[in-house]
Amino acid sequence: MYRVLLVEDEEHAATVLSDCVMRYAESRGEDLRVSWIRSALEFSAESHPADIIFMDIDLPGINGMEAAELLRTYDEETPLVFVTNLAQYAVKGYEVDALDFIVKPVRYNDLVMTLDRVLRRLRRTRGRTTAVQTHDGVRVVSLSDIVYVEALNHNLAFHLVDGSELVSRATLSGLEEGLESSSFLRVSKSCIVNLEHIRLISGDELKLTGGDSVWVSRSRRKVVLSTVADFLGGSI
Amino acid sequence: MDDKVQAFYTIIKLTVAIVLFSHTLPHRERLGLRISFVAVGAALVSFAGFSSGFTMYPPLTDFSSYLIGILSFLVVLSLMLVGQLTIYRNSLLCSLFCCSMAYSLENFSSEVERCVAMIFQFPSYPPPIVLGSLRYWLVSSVIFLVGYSVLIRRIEKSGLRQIDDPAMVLALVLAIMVNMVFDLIVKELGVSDIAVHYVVLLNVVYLSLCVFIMYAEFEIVYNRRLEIGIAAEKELREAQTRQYDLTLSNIEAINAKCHAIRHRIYQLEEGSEIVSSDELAELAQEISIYDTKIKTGNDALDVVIAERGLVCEQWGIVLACIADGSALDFVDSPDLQPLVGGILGAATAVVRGIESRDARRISLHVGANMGMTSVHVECPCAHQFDLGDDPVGSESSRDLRAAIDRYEGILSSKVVDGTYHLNVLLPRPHGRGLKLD
Repeated sequence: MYRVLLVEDEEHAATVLSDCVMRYAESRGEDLRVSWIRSALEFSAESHPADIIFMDIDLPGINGMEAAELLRTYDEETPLVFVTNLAQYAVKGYEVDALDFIVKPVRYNDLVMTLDRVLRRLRRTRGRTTAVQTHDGVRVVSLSDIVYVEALNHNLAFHLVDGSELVSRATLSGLEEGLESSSFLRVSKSCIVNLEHIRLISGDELKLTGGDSVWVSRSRRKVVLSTVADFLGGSI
Repeated sequence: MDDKVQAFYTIIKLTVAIVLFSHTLPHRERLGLRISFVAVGAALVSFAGFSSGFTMYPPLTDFSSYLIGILSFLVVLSLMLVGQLTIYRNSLLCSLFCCSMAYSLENFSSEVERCVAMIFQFPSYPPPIVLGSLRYWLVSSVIFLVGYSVLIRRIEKSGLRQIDDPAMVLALVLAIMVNMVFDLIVKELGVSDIAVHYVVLLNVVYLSLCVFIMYAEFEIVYNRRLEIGIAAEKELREAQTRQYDLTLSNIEAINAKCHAIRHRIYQLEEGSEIVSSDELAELAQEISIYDTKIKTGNDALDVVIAERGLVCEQWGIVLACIADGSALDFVDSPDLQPLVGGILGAATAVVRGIESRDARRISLHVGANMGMTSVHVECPCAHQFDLGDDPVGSESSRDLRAAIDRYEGILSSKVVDGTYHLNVLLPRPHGRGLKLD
């Protein structure tokens, strides 16, 4: 289930948007719960837990862009979509990492593509885990906590986001099949990387969260860059 | 001079010649490590060769000895190629060009040195090593200096990276092999009891061959540059034509819109005296399209998006963009039209195939991440659309692909669940990459 929050001062616009979201949920078999608040002030003052936020820009008091800036000070992850008739502001959406924007009056077809994109982002690693068979027993690890996995002498070393390392007796290809997540990518014969944790691509080197670097093999370079292109573009 | 000293000097000269021909090419990463690797590798190979009795100039007794001689030259040429490719980031053809030119220059300088030795002979043979070396390096330095001024600098101006004609480069490699045979014969005859005028004649032919090979290789690069220049000019003319068509189309769109607005105003004038607020709002909405100035932080990008926005408007396509213009600040302004304009043009071609005008929408995202700039477009596509119809593979997207290649970027496109995705990834120039913390 995903919680959808609409921040919209006009009742009619909010109703249209809500109807479109529910129509999408019905047609795609998604469980979406919509809630609505009227002002950005209310949004910033109260706690409104949400997985997806649709924010009108032209709001009275604090406008949508300012509210988004406030949101990003404590939440960098929640997908944000602007709903506006002021397209020139929406272009600036990258400043608050907005995922998309929809021009008013909202049409169902516009919303479909946007919600597809939002749900793709949410599903990358959300809540997924994998079981790692270590020498001390089985450890359940969240996929988003794995930075990269490398093959070392018939073992796999899982490098986690907190800097720790888990060693498991398994093969990289076996793990690759079991991961079933679009966020993981084989970059060389002996290494799989979580795309979410790439910080810098410099030549044939990937710098990862925590400061470690891994090399991209020459034969995989094109596939890696192509996948990164899809990942950054939000196509996967 | 001793054969081993001679071979050692030859290796040093070849190395210097390769560096002279290649020094304007970009280096690979971890240069120090790569140079050390090549130096150690060359030392080990040389040591192994010398200790196993290898000689660069074996005595020519029969056909097989010629074959061994040529093979040994080919081995040296191959090792030069490996070394050059290890250090410099260039194509195999470009590397082959640099190495074969370096080989010809080295041969030429050695041959000149041998001719000088024939004319100004030392009182004793073999000459003392210090004097022999002094003359050898003096002659070699002069030839290299002349070669650099007359040949290498001109080649640099013509652009080494433009070498992409395998047939011509391979023809030259064959010429180099003929040169190798001559090299062996001349050296062999130089120490045999053949009449001096034959030796002089052969030396003249050999020197001429060296000069011809270098001249022919230079001509290849020069002609290639001319060809590229002509092609670029042709491409520019085509781009200007396309730009003209686009501008014309925009003017038509604006005229049509203005005509519609004027018509609406006439209607209002002829109607009731009181104009309703709804009618005014509708009119304001019509005009607002031209008030909406896109501001991405990159003026050239703003123009491209605004122009394409008008084209989209004509086709009833909603263009939604979230763009950080500064992410494309390393792209030259004239390249933004074929790049971003080309991407949006490809998406427009896909969306036009959708019957329902309500479903026509293009979403553009431009941003910087991971030290790369990502340009992403997605739009709905008709059900029958497959990648065989992909506009980025067509002739009309040649400019787009060329622009991406120019910035060493990558393009990927796919169709997922009725949505067409087009992603372009461009590496940001060194030092301008974003580091995420």
